Amino acid sequence: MCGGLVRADITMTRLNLTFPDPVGIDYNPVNANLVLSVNWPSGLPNNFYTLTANGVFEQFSTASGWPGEIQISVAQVAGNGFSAGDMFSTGNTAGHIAYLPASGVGWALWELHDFDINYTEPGTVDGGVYASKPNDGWGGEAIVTTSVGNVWRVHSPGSAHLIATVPNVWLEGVVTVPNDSRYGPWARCIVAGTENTEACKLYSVSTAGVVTSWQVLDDVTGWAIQAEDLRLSRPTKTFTRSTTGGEAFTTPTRISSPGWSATSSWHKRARR
Amino acid sequence: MVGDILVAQEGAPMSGLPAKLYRVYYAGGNTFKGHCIYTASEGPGGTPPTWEQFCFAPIVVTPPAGTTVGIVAGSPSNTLEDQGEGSEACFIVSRTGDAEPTLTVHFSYPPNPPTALYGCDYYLLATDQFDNALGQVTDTLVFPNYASWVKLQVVPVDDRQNEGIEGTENVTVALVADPAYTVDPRHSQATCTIQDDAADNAGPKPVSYNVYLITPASGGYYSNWSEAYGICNDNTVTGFFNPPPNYSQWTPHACRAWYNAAKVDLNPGSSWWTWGYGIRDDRVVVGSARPPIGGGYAGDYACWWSADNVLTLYSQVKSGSYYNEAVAINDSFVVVGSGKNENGVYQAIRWDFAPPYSLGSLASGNNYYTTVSYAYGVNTDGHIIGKSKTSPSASTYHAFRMYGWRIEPATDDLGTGTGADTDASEALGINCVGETVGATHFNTASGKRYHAFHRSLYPGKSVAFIDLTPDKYWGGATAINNHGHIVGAYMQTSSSAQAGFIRYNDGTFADLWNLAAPPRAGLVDLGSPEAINDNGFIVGVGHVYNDGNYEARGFILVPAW
Repeated sequence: MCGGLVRADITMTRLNLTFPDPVGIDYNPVNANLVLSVNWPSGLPNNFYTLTANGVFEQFSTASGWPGEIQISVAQVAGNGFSAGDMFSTGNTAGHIAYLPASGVGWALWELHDFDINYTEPGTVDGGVYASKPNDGWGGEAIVTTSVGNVWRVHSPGSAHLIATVPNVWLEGVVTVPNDSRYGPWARCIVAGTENTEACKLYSVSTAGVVTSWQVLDDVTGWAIQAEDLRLSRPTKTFTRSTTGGEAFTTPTRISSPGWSATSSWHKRARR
Repeated sequence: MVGDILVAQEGAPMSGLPAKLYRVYYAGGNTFKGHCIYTASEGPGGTPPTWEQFCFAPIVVTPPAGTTVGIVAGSPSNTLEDQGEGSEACFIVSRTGDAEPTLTVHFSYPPNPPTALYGCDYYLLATDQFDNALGQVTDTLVFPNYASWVKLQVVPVDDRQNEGIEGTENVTVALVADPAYTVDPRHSQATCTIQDDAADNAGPKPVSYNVYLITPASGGYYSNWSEAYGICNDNTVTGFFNPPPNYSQWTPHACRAWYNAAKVDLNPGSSWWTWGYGIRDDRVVVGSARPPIGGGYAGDYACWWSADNVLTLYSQVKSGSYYNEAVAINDSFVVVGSGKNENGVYQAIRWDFAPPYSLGSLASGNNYYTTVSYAYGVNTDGHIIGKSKTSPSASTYHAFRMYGWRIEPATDDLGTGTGADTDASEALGINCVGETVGATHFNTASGKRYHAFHRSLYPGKSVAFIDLTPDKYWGGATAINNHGHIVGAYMQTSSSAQAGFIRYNDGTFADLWNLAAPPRAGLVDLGSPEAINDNGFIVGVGHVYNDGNYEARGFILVPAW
C-alpha cells in the first residue's frame, strides 16, 4: 500500500431494489446476507432488515423505533466471546449501544459506563460502531464513537472503557487498523471520521489513547476528504478477477456487491 | 487491494459536495492521501445520494426476475383499539424487481376468527417509504415510482358501546395473485391484532346538569320565546329567539348563544325573520332567513352565517317559496336541509356552495317531482340522513342514510323497526362514525310502538334497529355525539308529558329532568333535547309557564362532573 498505487476507478451498478431510508449496512458471514438499518429517522416500523443474495428484503429482528442514524457492525469472525454474525448497533438509548445476537432474536442494551473512572457517556451514540477483529490489536471488542467525541472499547456488558476524547467533535465512522507497517502511523490504531463536515479530518487513536488528527487530501484535486465511514477491504472471491492495474471492483452501486456495498439516503436533505 | 483503507465521503447535495469513495494510502512520513475511485451519480428520482455506511460483502445480490410482492406484519403488530391513527401496528408490503414503475397490488381479508372487519373495526392508511401519504386503501395498493416498500398502518376503530364490545380481533391481509407480479409464498399474508382497550366503558357521566336559558324565563308569550337546535364542540349554541317586548309579534332572530356569555343576534335587520339550526366547530351557522320585501316577505332562504356573522342566502328551491331550511353542516361544508320544489313537494336538499340540489327520494326511480323527502343531518364523512316516502302515495316515511348527491332507494332505505314497509321510520341524528339515531315502529309486548332507535353504519355490526325506549309508550332520538351518547324525547305512557332523555353509550337511560339541578332555570320541562356535543352539553327546547301560557325556551344543559 505504501507508495500510493493508483487503481482504476470502479464501476457500480444499481440494483433495481430500493430500501426505506437506509443508514447502516454490514455483511453477515453466517447466513451470507446483508444487514441494513432502515427507516431513518424514526426506526418505524422496524429498524433492521436483511437482504439475501437472491434479492429478498425482509425484516431482521423485532427492534423498532430506535431513532436517528443507526450504524451497525457485524462481527465477521468469532472472538472475545462473540459469535460471527453478532451485531452491534448505535441508537435506541443515549449512552448505550445495542448488542443483537446473530439470530436476530432479542437484543441487549449495554451502557457505556467506565467503572474505573466512574464516567458515563453523556452523548448520543449515533456516531459509529465497529466490531474489531481478534487479531487487530483490539481483541474483537466493539469500538464506539459518540456525538461528543468519545471513543470507547466495549468488552462485554458492564465492561466499557473510555479510550480517548476528541473535544467538540462528533465522531462518525470508525475502523481498527491492523498492526502492519504499511499503514504507517495508523497501524494498530482506531481511525474515525467525523460528522463535522467543516473539519474534514480523520482521527487516529492509539492503544495508549493518544489522539492525532489527520487531514487526508484528494491526490488529484487536493481537497480534504470528509470521512463519513471507513472500512478495510477484505479478501473476497470477487476481488480475484484482474483488470489492468490489479484487482477490480465489480461493484453495484447503492446497495450490494460483489465487493462492497454502501447505503445512501436521498431523503435527508432537510438536515443539510 | 486487500487491506486497503477505504473512506466514504458522505456528500452534501445542497452544497454540491459529491458522495465519493476514496482509497486512502499512506504516502510516507506523516502523510496520507486519498484517491477517489468512485463518485456517486444520481440516485433514483434524480437526487444525488448521500452516503452513511458501506461494507464489504462476498455476495452477489441478484434481484429476482420479474416482480415479487410480499407482506409482513410490522412491529409491534398489536395495537389497542383506541389508538386511532396513532397506532403503530402496520403491515409492510414490499416488492422486489424493478422499483421504478408504479405497481398495483391487490389484497383481500381472509377470515381469521375472531376477525376484525375492515371499515368496521379498522381501516388501513398507506404511506410509502418516502413518507408520502397514499391515503386510505381497501383492496388495492398502488406502489408509486421508485417505492419498493409501502406501510399499511392499521387504524383501529374503537368499539362503540351502543354496538357491543368485542375482544381482541385479528386483521389478516392476504396478497391476491396478479399477472403483474408474483406473490412471495413465504410472505403471502400477515396478521396484526387489535386488542380491546380497557377504556371501553361509558367514561365519566355527569352527576347532574346545570340549566341555562338562551333568553330569560320571564316574558309573555312571544316575548323571549327561544329555541336551541345546535351546539358545537366549543359549546357555542345556535337557535333563535324572539326579542322583547314583542309580546304578540313573532319575529325570530337567529343567534349564537353560550351558557356563560351574552348571545349574539344574527338577524340582519329588524324586519327579517331568521332561524339558526346547525353549527359546526368554527361557529359557522346554517339556518333559514325570511327577508322582507315591500310590505311582505320574499319567501324563505336557506342560508349560512360566517364566523364573523356575514349572512349568505342560498337560492330558493322554487323562487319565492317558503320553508327552505338548511339544518346541518359538516366540516367539508356539506349543507343539507329541505325545501319545496316547483310542485310544492318538500325535497331533501344539498346546498354546499352551489344552487340547491335535490337529493331525490326513496321512491322508485328516485322520484324528485312528487315524493316527499327531508334531510336532517350530515356527518364528517358526508353521510346524510333524513326521511323520505317510498312512493308519492305512501302514507309513511322511511329513514334514509346516503352519501353523495342522490338517494339510492335500493341501498339507502333503512327500513323500519318492524320490518314492514308500511310502518314508519325517520333518521334524525348521525355522528362521526355513522351511528344513526331516530325513531321507528317496533313490535313490542304492548303492541306496535314508535320508539327511539340506534343503528350502526357498518355491516357486520348491529345493523338491526336497537330500541332505545323499549318500555316507553313513545320515543324518538334526535341526536348522538361522537362518544355515542344519545338524546331524545319520550312519553312514559299515553298520558304522560313529553320528557327529554339521555342514553349513555353503556346503555344507561335517564330522564334529563331528574338529572337537571333545581331550580332548572324556571323551566317546567326539558321535553325536546335537540343536540349533544362531545363535551356532553345538551341543547333543546323546554318551556316556562308565564301568565297561564307555556312559552318555549332554548335551554343549555351544562354537565356537572
